[in-house]
Amino acid sequence: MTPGDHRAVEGLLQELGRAGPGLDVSFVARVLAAAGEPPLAPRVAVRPRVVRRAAPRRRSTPWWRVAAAALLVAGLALAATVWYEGHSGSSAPTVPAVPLPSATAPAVAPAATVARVVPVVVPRAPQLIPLSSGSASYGYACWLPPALGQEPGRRWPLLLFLHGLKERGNGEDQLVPALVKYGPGRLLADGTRLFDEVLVVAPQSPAHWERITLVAFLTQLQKRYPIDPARLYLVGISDGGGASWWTALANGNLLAGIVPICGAGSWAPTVPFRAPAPACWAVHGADDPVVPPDWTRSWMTLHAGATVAAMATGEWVCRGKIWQPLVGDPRPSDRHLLSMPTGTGHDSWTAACADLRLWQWLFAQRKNP
Amino acid sequence: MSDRDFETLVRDHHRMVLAYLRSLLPVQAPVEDLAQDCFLVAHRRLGEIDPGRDAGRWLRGVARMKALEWWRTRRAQPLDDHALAQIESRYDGWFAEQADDEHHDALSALQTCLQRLGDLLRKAVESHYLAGRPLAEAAQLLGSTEVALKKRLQRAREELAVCIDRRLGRRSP
Repeated sequence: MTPGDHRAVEGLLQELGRAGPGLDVSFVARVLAAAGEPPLAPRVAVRPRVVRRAAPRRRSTPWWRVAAAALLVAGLALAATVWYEGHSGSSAPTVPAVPLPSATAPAVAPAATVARVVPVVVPRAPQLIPLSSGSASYGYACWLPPALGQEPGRRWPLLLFLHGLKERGNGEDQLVPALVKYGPGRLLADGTRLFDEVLVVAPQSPAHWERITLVAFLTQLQKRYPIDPARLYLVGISDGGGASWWTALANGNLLAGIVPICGAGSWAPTVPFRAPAPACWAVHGADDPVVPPDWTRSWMTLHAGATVAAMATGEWVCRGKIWQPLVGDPRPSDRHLLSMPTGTGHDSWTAACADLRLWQWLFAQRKNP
Repeated sequence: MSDRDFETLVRDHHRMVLAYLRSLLPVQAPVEDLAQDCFLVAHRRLGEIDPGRDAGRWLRGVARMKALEWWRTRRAQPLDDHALAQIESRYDGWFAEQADDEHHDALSALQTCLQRLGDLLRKAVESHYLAGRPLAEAAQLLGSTEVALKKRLQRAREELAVCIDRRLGRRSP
């Protein structure tokens, strides 16, 4: 082979390494945004244009208008309070409340050992940031902690949830229907208080997730919200699970913990994670007909540095390089956990997301120094 | 050309253009900006292209000009004509229009071929190219030296090129 041939293969490998097996969404978006603009000088980075509205001119308001507005607001607040007390438990208007299917979903482990997420009464509506706002690489739904802004200087953990391939969308009007189907979005629509101390963000991708774009998206979120850099968590299902693995492999130093659920991808690599790797609780249906469970076993072998048995099912924890059945709740110090439930098929996320232990363990994780 | 056609063009070819530019340039930093420039040229001029022509080949022509311009502004010696022709010949075979199906282009073939590499070569490729480790760090991780790792990567690239050719039904040039 000539040097030119080597360069040709090298280009392909570098491209594969940069984006992972997915499609580079941000690139397509940037080029399409740029194409609508006049010709640009060479090598000028093109970014989506952020439309900023001019601040309205301030005018002096007559005193009687101010007084009338104050009376109106007070009246409305009173009416809303009376209405809410009579309707507590109803859902927010923008997010349809969907009951948790935990009662019918197959359990990950014997029911006696699993604490379930119990819905409570106050659903939180997401703040929607569409892709067209130009403020981030993806359109996303964001659930802010209720106490955000009340304690100046406080930083909040971030939970980033990556959907599966079927929930792909335009990041605009398709955001909410896709993101409350399952995962934290669904739990929040049901009114869980589990994420009261966490900033939850669920972006929507129009294609496969792409590692570089995700890392850029994380940086954009960190600039926009008061996020604790030691507590970034990544939870993904199927295609999003695969993206969680790849992000942890190459950019694991950013994350405190990951939960890849039936992580999909073209293959699982064989090289170790770059230290310090984030803590991981992987979930994969042992009889998943869509994504081979062996991929998660391979990834977990790599993560723990100890081989997962080929036909392992049930719940496992790796302590001191030895895999052993998980009995009771996991410890916060456990860094390698694996659930391989049977009877769930590809949908291992419904039971996993309803498992209170998973969230408690995840939010106890801190990034390695 | 409608925006929809243009979007299809970008989706079909952007990864090929990025990989091609990576083959032509010694560093990765300018690749994305140059690729953007290529597609901006395409947006302005694609109406002039004969629909029967291979749009991927046309885009590579633009990308090559952009890469050479980049080399010139740095007053550096670009790849020689023979190497450029070899790279073009490879991409021409790997990304021919009839092979432009999502499941039958060189990038998807590469993913399959990676799984068929021997353990030693696969680890070398994954450490350096896929996990993004510099050569020295990857060599240390694999308990090897930089020189030995370079040789392994060279062998891996050779095997991958042959494998991709075979999967796409092409003969190595």
